[in-house]
Amino acid sequence: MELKEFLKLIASEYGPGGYEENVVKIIQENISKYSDEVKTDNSGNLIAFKKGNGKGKLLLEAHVDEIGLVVSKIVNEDYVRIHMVGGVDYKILPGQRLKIFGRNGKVYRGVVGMLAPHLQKSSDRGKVIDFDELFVDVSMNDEKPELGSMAVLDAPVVELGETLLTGKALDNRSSCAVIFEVFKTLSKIKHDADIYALFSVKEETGGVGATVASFSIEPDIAIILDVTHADVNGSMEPEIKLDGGPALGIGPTVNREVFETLKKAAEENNVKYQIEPLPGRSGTDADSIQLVKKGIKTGLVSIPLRYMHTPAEIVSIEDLKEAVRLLTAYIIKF
Amino acid sequence: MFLSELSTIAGVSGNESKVRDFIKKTIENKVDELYEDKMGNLIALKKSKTQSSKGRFAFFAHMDEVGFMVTRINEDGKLSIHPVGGVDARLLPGKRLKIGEKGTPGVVGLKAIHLQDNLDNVPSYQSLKVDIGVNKKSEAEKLVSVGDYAIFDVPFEEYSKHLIGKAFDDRGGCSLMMDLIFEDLKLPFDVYFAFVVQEEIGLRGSGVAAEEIKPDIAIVLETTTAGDNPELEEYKWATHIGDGPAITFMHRGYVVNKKVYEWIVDTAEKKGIKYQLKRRTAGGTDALSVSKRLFGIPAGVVSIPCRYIHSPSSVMYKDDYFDTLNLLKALLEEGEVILS
Amino acid sequence: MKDIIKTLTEISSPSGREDTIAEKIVEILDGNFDEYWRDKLGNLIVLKKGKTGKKVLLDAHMDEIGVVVTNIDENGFLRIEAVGGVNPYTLVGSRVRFQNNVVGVIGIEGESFRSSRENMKNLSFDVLFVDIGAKNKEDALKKVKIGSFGTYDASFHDLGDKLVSKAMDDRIGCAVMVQLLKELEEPLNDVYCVFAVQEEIGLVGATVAGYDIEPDVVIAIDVTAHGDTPKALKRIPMKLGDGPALKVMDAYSISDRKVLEFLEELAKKENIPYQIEILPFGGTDAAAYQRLKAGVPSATVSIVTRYVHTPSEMVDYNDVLNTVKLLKSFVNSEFLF
Repeated sequence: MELKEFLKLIASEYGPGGYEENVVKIIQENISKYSDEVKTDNSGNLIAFKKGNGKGKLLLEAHVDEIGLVVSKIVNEDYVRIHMVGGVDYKILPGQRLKIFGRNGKVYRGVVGMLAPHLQKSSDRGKVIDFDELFVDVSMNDEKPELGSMAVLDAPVVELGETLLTGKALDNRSSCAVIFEVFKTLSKIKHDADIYALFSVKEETGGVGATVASFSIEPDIAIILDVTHADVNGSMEPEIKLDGGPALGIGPTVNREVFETLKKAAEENNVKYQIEPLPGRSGTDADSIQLVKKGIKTGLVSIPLRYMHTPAEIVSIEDLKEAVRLLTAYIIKF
Repeated sequence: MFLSELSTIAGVSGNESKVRDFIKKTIENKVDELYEDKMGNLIALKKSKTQSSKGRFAFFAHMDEVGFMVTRINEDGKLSIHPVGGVDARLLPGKRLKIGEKGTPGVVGLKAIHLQDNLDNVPSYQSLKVDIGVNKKSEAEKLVSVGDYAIFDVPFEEYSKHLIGKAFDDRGGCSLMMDLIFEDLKLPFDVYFAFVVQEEIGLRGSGVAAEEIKPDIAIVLETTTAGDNPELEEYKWATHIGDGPAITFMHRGYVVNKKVYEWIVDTAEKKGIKYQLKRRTAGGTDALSVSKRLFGIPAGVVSIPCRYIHSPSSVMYKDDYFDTLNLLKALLEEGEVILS
Repeated sequence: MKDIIKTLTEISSPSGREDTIAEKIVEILDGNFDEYWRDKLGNLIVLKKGKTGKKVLLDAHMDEIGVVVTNIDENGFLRIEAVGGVNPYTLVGSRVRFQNNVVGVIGIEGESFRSSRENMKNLSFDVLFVDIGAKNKEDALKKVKIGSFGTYDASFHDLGDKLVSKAMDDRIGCAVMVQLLKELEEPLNDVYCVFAVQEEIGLVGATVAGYDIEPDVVIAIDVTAHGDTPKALKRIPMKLGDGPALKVMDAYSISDRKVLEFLEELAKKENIPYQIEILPFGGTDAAAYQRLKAGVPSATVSIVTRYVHTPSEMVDYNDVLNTVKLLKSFVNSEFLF
């Protein structure tokens, strides 16, 4: 499957923290033919293995989970209340349609309700709606979702012009798609290092999956793939541009040599790249992977993305392709 | 004491190599083993002189200091910076910085007082910019890069009883460990010294070092906040300069192991060493990350009290430093008590 | 079992000072185990051997929230800081008990009506002090020291189905494990009961307790919030008396889905009432076990509790009994975790 098609497929599937099986299954089915071994671990992580000449162990990691919602209370036949799984900005919720995944396997519709402006008190207009006061209308379903059902915003990925894609969960299915494409490429070339691809669970809720899987894989070097904020008009935030190529993280949570090697690999192969300063923790799985056991050397490669954690996330397929070229070059160099 | 050298070296979290190199060079002939782990922690071992070692004793102090990172080079050639660790933005106006490996000088400008509309505007990292004497982005890029670290550019000063400098937190602890290494220790157990990285951004290096050492007990050496100034009521002081080493019973996220805490206090009492208890529980130390590693490592905390930490001008009282050193020596003499 | 709950909740053992409670638990267990030990950080671990070689680890923390003395002034008044999530408003009007049974009363600073109002409005530990009836500093030092730990001074009350006491969080979990150990003959799986230390200040004990045990599955037993009092948080459903709460998620962890669904099926099969829990805040020791080594499937079974972190935490006795029943059935199940 082509990179773009694969991304559309996995990003449109649902998989909030702890409930990633469907996405994991699709990746597993597709990556198997390019891997020597594929398995899931005790925590639900998917690990694909591609043998090299045993010269070192390289881990490519991307979290597979997305932010989501959970039905936290049944109010009555028509309404439920919700809680977030990961950092959802609830300002974007009113008026959204939800796909609710029942604990019995059925899929339901939900609409996040809001009082029409006509009926609002004038003093309430212009105020941010309190999350505690949000409700979801489930009246349209014949059967109703149960307490504890997970939900995601119904925003399948669509194309926006020639190169851009928009939708939910591009954070971090974009990186999953990049790793998938790297494995495809690896099936055609020789490489020395043993390559592990880790599609980890529960990142948005604390990086659990990456920590425990890295413990069992124990790689020499781990390259973490995630997304980063693009085109932010701030005064101190890093300047990362959509279509500027993958961003290479630099800072405490990244090993300096790994950073330099990645940068060199990009330069030698005319891969477009940008530098992302990380003055502290990176907010990615790199933070926890670096501290596993006696320490793991980490590199961080991020896909520029606009409007993170909304159903209107935007990435450029060109940035993904450059990231694939970068990682392939890095692996050959390894 | 190695504080005069240690204080002036640049070693912001994630970029501790210069501090590490200095320590390595200074102690390499005084220890039995010396190595650097994958994260950059430097671990030294003084082996037990007796036949069979009775356990592993470990000291921890962090090499890193708070500072800044260049996050953006603006069109006008000025730099945007972000703190690495906790540095109050209000400390910055009018200060001089050293940026990057080459130590490019820069100043943090502030609109002259005559021109300010509102004197109460609080300086913030969003508003403050670093001037390195160029007015084009392309010029600036020849001198610095995005991702460069920066520190306050200040000298170390020594007076009859006091020391002034940056980065006493925790080069004070590093210096104590180096002094201990230079002592002729004759001990029935192995003593490890872990000079760790990345404490200031979330206690990150120490856990990895603990995994390497697997100590039976750990003592974290810190330089801690005093708070003994006229703007704070006495009961809110954390420590007082001149009252000797501060012993911690609890801090954020960890109650110091009761046995270890009582052993430290008892030892100070027994040997007649001046000490004080740290009287605030805010803030964390590497004791938190060390105690939560592996099967659980009981960790204690001993600190040199120090005024104005995380600023370019920390003030330390020399006697406190030496009282702390004496307490540590006493703890080693009494080490068998806690290891058994 | 009410006696066990009374005894365990009335003991004063805040985070970091768990020796008293640990000793009492061992005493009450009265030999109903194969082995017990305390690890380096003080976790009490009690083992009852099974037949399959599979290891089930049950965890309840034995520490409780409390206070610690940080200063003693010339007139003998103490200053304190919180050990864990003590709300200063809860302290006003209540009493604290220090480890050597010294009791203190809480007072608030206020030099003018305005400052009194301000202090009450933005209450913090900075404006609170403790009066232990000392004449002066010297007198106070005979009773407490800087670094003395204390807890709420409150007693147990049996209201019938409902039980009230301080420290239900998480002595109720400890009581469940004690009762379970007493009732278990020879379980199918090895049962490791961890009475963990320092949960309230950051899951310290549980982070290391499983390291040498390497369990196959973990269930943390802890309290959770309620939604069944007037104008209680409207996004949560939990009710006292509806049975043990199977946690889907809280702020620190998402329960392992396989374990959660297994527990749910088990409850249905055994006709044990249960409820589903989603907690928008808080966390339990399960979060630590999920991160242990290569990862352990972990979930939380909660006892719904009203007024958590006050001197009067309330649980429903039937929920407690049903939790024992559910866990007993769990440790005797064959499973594939």
